[in-house]
Amino acid sequence: MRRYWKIISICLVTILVIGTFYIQSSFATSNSLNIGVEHVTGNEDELQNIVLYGNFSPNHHYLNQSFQMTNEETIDLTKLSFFQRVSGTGAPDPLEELIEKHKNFMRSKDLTPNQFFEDENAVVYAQIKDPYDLPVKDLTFEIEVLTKKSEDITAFQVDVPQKENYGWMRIVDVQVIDHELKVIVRGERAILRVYTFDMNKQQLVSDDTIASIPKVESSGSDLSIINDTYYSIQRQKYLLIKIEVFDKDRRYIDDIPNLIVNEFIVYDIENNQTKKIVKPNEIVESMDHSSAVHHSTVLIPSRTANGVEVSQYDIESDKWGETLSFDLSETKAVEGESFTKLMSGKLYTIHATTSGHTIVIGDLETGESLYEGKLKVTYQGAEQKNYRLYFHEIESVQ
Amino acid sequence: MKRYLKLVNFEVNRFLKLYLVLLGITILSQIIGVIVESQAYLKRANEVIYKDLIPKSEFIEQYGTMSFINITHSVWFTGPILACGVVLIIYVFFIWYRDWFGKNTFSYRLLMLPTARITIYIAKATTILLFVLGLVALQLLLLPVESQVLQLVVSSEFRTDLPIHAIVNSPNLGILFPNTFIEFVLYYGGGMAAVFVVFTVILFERSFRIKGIIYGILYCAASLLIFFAPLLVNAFMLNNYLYPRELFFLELAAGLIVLACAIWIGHFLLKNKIRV
Repeated sequence: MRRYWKIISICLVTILVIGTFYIQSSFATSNSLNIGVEHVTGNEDELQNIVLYGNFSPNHHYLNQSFQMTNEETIDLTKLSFFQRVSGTGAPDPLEELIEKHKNFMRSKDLTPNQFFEDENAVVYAQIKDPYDLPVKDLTFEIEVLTKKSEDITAFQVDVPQKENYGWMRIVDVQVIDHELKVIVRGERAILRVYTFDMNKQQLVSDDTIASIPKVESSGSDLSIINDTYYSIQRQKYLLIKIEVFDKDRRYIDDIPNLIVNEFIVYDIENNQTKKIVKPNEIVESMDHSSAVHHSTVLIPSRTANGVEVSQYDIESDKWGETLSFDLSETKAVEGESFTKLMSGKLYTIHATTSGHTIVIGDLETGESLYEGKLKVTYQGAEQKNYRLYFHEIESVQ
Repeated sequence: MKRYLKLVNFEVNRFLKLYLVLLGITILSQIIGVIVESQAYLKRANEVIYKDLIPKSEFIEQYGTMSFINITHSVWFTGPILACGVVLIIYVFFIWYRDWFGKNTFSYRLLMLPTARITIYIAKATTILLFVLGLVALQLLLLPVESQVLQLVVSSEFRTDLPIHAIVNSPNLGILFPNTFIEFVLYYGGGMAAVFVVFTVILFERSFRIKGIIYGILYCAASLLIFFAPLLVNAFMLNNYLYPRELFFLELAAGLIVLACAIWIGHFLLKNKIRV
């Protein structure tokens, strides 16, 4: 054996070093970043069932760690085990659930939630065949319906009417109302249309334009849905549409274009009606993707010196209601590091202040603050003072 | 087993001197790199703070602190890793051809050894694997040492100390050290399967010479096709029917088939077709 000392020592050193490294890193990763919530006021139960997603950088360093946190644990998303990553489908949460329940139906689908709809009876999927293949001659709706009780799958195809008018089309939302399937589509030239299908007859019943932007020479325009339809596969009553027209095309000109049209439209999906929101000027600025529709009220949050204000607009009565305000105990805010989400009748907001991050949960029906807490960040076992923390999503889990 | 060990020992000894030189260059270059990069950072800090009169905190805010991640971006650090990689890739070919083109008719003696010829093939592959893993282990041993050097050169106010597992996750090192042990085995196993395929291509060439090159290319293309077949079939014929987990197990199976074929064909060529 003595003559083999060289290979034996290379083997031993290699196995020891690599083995120790992987054993150590499996222990080290589980607790390197921990973000806890320190109670300030309110009911701590409000923190149950919410998951926050964000990014963390220690001490002015460009190392960037994405994480998800609950009030109990912080999970480093870059350190999921191999099988956790392989067994995931990479699909957003509501679709993960659908894949678990209806594995075969979900195969060969575009895993974007806004192309799906689920209620107690059925799962519906719609796609537009080959929207990016040029020349567009095959713009076709492909619709698949899974009846939950019988587990039957029915599929049908319908040509897009006047498809020669469109270079591309993208599905924005799918809804089912009493055997009528409504597919809402964003098309070329900033046009938003709804196609209504009879699911029993498997036919297109009607198609209407919800909103469109008139083409103005050498201008830029944008049409977007601002209440969160992307992650939702459930029934929605309203879509909140933002239309912007600029005096210059944003894509080609370096200097900042001026906004000449900034309109908000509410679309009632069930009744196929649109309504323009006439709004006081100060609210215009703050109406962005954190706005939401709760029951029949449009809620528009905005940052103020003392905290957050939420303007309310009632769609049915066409009136602006009382403005709710949620004050923070710590108001010295740091620019640009806050995140607000309105979700199931509650306001969730995280603010960066000079002394750390504060999370506030408020009730949008009563205007009361339900909970306030301070985030405590520990990284590698030590409490952190200098760090960057950005949140980009809050989800509720059951 | 004894013959196998003897052959591995023999192959390791043949390359050991050059290997030690590679280890030496890596150690030297990386430690010099730590010092050079740290000095450059401090020099810039000095210029900004004392000449441009910008406060220390603002400098840190603007330029960030110094950490080992900065070092891993420098040529001093990545250069020797790349050089070692290139030398080992060349040696995958050289480990066979030196037997034919070296002094005397060494290949003849090697093939005449009273042992199954596949042992030679496996011993050569083992040697490559040992050298690769040896370099990976060296890098792991060097990181804490280099971190200490960094701490000696840069004072703590300008420095962010990162644990080893955070350093190896940086984009440059992440390739060498996958996140989990399973991935480590899969990546390096995949690499070894590629080495076996190249070995078999070399044996095709050594068996049939010019014609063998064509056979080798065809064999290589077939191996790639088998390996990527699950991905290709899923994307182009099944319209993404499979979920990632299913695709992973099919890929694993395809990889094992490619590996088994490489060894079996290598065995067949060595036994029946090889020319000296």
